[in-house]
Amino acid sequence: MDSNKLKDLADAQFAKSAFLTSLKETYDAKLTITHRGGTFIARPELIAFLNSWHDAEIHVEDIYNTPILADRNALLAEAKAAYRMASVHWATEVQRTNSIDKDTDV
Amino acid sequence: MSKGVVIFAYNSTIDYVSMATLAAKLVQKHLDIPVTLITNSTDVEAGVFDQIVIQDLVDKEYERVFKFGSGSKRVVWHNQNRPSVYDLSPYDQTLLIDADYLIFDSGLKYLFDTNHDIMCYNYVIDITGSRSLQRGAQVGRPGIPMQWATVVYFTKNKLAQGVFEFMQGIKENYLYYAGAYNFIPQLYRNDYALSIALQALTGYNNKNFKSIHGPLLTANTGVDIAEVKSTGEIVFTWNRKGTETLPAGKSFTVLKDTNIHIMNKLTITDLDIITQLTELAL
Repeated sequence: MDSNKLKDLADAQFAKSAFLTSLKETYDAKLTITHRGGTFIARPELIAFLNSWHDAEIHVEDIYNTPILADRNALLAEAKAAYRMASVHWATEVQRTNSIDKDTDV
Repeated sequence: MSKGVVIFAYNSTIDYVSMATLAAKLVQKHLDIPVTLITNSTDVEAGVFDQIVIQDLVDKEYERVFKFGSGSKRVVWHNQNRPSVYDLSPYDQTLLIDADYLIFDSGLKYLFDTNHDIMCYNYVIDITGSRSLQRGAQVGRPGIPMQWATVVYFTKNKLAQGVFEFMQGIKENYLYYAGAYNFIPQLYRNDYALSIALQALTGYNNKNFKSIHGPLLTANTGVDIAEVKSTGEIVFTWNRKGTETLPAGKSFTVLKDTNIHIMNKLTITDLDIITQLTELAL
């Protein structure tokens, strides 16, 4: 990297607000799962809803407003796994931003 | 059912084939499915693509002025063979991506488990926070909502076939559609053709087709890649306009494990950068 480019980088400011906005949106996209042809977002509401029933199968509305007869336990397991993965990624990235000020902090 | 990714790449003053090669390697790493290249080039790295379809350009060339961080540049732009993807894709389930759309996580795998005919993103988030590309983008005035052709998932079905055939018709009668939808016709845009075709063929209703969940994350043409770290972090920089609270200057952000559309073709084809990005695909 040439010296001008290095100086530019050293002077650059971290666009934290824009970063957090795009991170939140991509975190949300990472929560997307499919089950029996339906598409679901593994948000806490979905996990809590599935957890509150005991039936083996239950109709659940997917994000495209289509009712899907879900295998409750299977969908719950998939939702929990997606939630865990996406939320760990999100939390790690948010925590990391707190220590970023200059490019050299990355 | 066979599934795979299709990428178009036509070299001009910009090396789209190298971009497509990088994109294909990242697809194989993160989605683990084959990639077909549609190109007019015979100079393609061996062993990367499942299939290479040689398709000559038949339409007129467009020139587009790209505003890069380091200035602007007029480049020849070949984007018109895209509607032929329905016939050219060898797969039952196809994910069509631009050569400059880089995949760094497995999130899009879910598309192949859905039962939808055709899907694309319906909004963009620019990593700089600029709102110029973002929610509310329209085709024309007063217009219809923009659907983005950067990433399109489709299966072989009547709706998808109709959409791509309609896009072909729009391309051939672009002036007519520019008048009907009230947009500037100088540059053929697949986004416009896709938006018009999808909306019309699903009953002129903006909610009768399915969008890919989440945003199309984009680095606009003014954003440079400063460096790619071996840990997977990609550092992006751009010239920030001054505001009341912050003077003009340089800004940066960093992304990791996140798919992104990189519109600055100069930065993505910079030899150092593309080499570093390719290392992330190993």
